[in-house]
Amino acid sequence: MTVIEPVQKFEDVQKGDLLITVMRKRQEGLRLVQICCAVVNNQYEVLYSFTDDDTYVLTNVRVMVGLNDTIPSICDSYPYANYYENEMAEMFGLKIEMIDGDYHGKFYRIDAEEPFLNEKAKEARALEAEEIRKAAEEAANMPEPEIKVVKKEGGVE
Amino acid sequence: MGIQSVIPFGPQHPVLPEPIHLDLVVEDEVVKEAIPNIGFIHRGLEGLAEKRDFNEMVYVAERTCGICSFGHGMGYCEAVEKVMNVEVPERAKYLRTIWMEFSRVHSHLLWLGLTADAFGFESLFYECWRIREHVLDVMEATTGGRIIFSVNQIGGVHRDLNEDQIRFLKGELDQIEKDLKNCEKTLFGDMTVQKRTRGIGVLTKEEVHDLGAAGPFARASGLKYDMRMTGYEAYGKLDFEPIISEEGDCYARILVRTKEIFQSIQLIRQALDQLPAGDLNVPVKGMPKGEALVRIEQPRGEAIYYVNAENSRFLNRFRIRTPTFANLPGLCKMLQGANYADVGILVVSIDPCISCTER
Repeated sequence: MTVIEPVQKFEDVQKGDLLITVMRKRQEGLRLVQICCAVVNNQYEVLYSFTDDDTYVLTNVRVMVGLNDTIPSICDSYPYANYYENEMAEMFGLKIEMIDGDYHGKFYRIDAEEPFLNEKAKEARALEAEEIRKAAEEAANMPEPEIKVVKKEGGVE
Repeated sequence: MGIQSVIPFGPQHPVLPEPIHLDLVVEDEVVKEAIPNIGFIHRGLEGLAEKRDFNEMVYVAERTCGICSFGHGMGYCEAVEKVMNVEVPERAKYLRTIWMEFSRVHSHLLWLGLTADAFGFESLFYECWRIREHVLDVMEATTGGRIIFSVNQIGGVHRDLNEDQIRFLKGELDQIEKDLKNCEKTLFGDMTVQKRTRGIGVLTKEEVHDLGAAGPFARASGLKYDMRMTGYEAYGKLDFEPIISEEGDCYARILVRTKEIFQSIQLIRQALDQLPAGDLNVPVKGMPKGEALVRIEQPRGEAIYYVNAENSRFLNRFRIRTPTFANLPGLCKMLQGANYADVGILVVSIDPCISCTER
């Protein structure tokens, strides 16, 4: 038997580049094998793993998402990602937009809310939400900048 | 256009070994759509990783499922060993391989019996499960447990095989092989089996790839992908090739799994002949720090174990991606356009392990 070396690669991408990265993986013919969510340093770490069926190379795409942020669904490229995304949304409270086949938090139908999100992360999320809310309020209450109209010589403003 | 009805399938159904619910949208006895609902046996085992010492977590991982038990324990141990840079002794690798292949034989025999029961062939079901008893006897004699073995530990294993046990194993292997060969003619030749499985639930190679399917379910459609080819544990030293079929129907899935049983018997014999002397485990000191992702070939397909640790005896995250979870989309695709009478055999043909799926 010829042993195939199980190579693994990790790529860190920004949230904004996730969809294009995933689309490229699809175009390369890679198969999505798992999506995993974890809470690291008060952020969601979402790991998308893709494998090449011929070379067995596993490519892991890592995205860090704020506890109050949203992340786009990759169902357009990988329709069967919806099960993984529903699981992450229900277990961790990760907000994922436009899941194709959204169970709205009832995939496992667990009574507990976000059972895999620990108390420390929930507190951090609440604090962060409060800061975002305050920042938005301050931005809304800021006076409008004064616009001065200066007439130049020749009558041009 | 006919009238559409929604017929519930499960969570309690004679063909289902474990509870899963499917809402089947049916029109004139043809299934138009299948919507799965799970959550009946979710136990939150992954969440326990934050509350149990990482050494104790082996026992929790093993109890994810009764059929894939050994593989889960082994996969978890491999992931933590990778994080902690632990090199397992050669003898332990061979022993893990032997028990893993017995686990595969057990799982496939159990599945063959359930499949026969799904299309009403009860005597074949009894025969497959009678042969399976030999495997359970071997497991009990060598590990102390028929279903949950609890021999894996981080750093190796904590049980060994002596000469008497090896002789017993080889004798039982011969008996299993002989008994299964007697069943082969019925499994592959009987008219009932052919009528109920040929041309049913066909998925092409491109479809199984696009749906992310894994294991014998995907190999029966021609996708040549078997994690044992990466040579983890002692597989790198054994001689085998993945078994595939091109037809992609339920009959092909029976064919692939039956042939895998024979292949596993050969692998066990090779491993027993090559079994090196040496230690069973190495001491493991310190706390895990870092992350690791390990893939193994469970009886139902590729399983992925992810571990994230932050220098504490409690892991930050432990995740298992089980093969049945990956095969659910393939199941829903197969059910579209299928006859309602074939739903039972189609569901069983993916070899569903809902305990693994829900964890």
